[in-house]
Amino acid sequence: MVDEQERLLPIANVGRIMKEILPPSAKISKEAKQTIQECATEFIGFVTGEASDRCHKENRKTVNGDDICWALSNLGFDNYAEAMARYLHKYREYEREKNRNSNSNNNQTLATTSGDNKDDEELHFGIEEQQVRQVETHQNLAPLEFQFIDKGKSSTSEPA
Amino acid sequence: MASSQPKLTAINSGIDVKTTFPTARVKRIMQADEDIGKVAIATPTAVTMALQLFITSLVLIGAAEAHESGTNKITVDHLKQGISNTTQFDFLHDLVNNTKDD
Repeated sequence: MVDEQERLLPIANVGRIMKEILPPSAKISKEAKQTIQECATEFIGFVTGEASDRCHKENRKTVNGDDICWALSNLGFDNYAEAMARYLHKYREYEREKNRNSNSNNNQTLATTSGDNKDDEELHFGIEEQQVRQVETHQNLAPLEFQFIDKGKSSTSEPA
Repeated sequence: MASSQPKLTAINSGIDVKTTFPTARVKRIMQADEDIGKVAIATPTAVTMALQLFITSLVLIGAAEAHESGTNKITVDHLKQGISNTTQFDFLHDLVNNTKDD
């Protein structure tokens, strides 16, 4: 029996993202937060399904980061795909560096972040965690402008 | 070229979302669909990144609609409005239209 909350992303994380990007005065109703939680979960399925279809077509069994990137682009999320392409590039560079270093120094472990369990929302894979931090501090994600294609409603075109 | 569309730029002129999602949960949700086979180790991390971007978009859309209607509290109705105005989010139409307003 699958617990309803287990099938969705943790709602606390949704709330946290909201707090990160909106001013302190902004509020959100509990139902709206739940709606975002559902939408985000739906988004995962949507993108993963598309990525997986591509894998099947190419007779591959394992969905990878490139497939996700491709799926984002194919589904109309070009802005996300661009940011992800940069991230994947950095990640691979990091992996290459790591392999070079581990060839010359076998004592170097990836355990530096594995002891950091205070927040169980953190990534479980040590390498990726370091890489994500690196991306964040270097602001490799260039300013993203979200352009919304209007279907004819122009109510937001006038300044308040 | 004059655009009648609002350009919503992420608050800090660059996404700086630190909140991530539990990798195991992301992977489980990805594989909830039986058609999905194996998932490379780094893939849930890539998906997490896409989630940060997506949720940010959704929150900003909701905030814009709330601001439009003169309130600082985002409601389901604001999200519905924003989603129906955004082609990128067509895939969410059924999901939100079945959601009760609050």
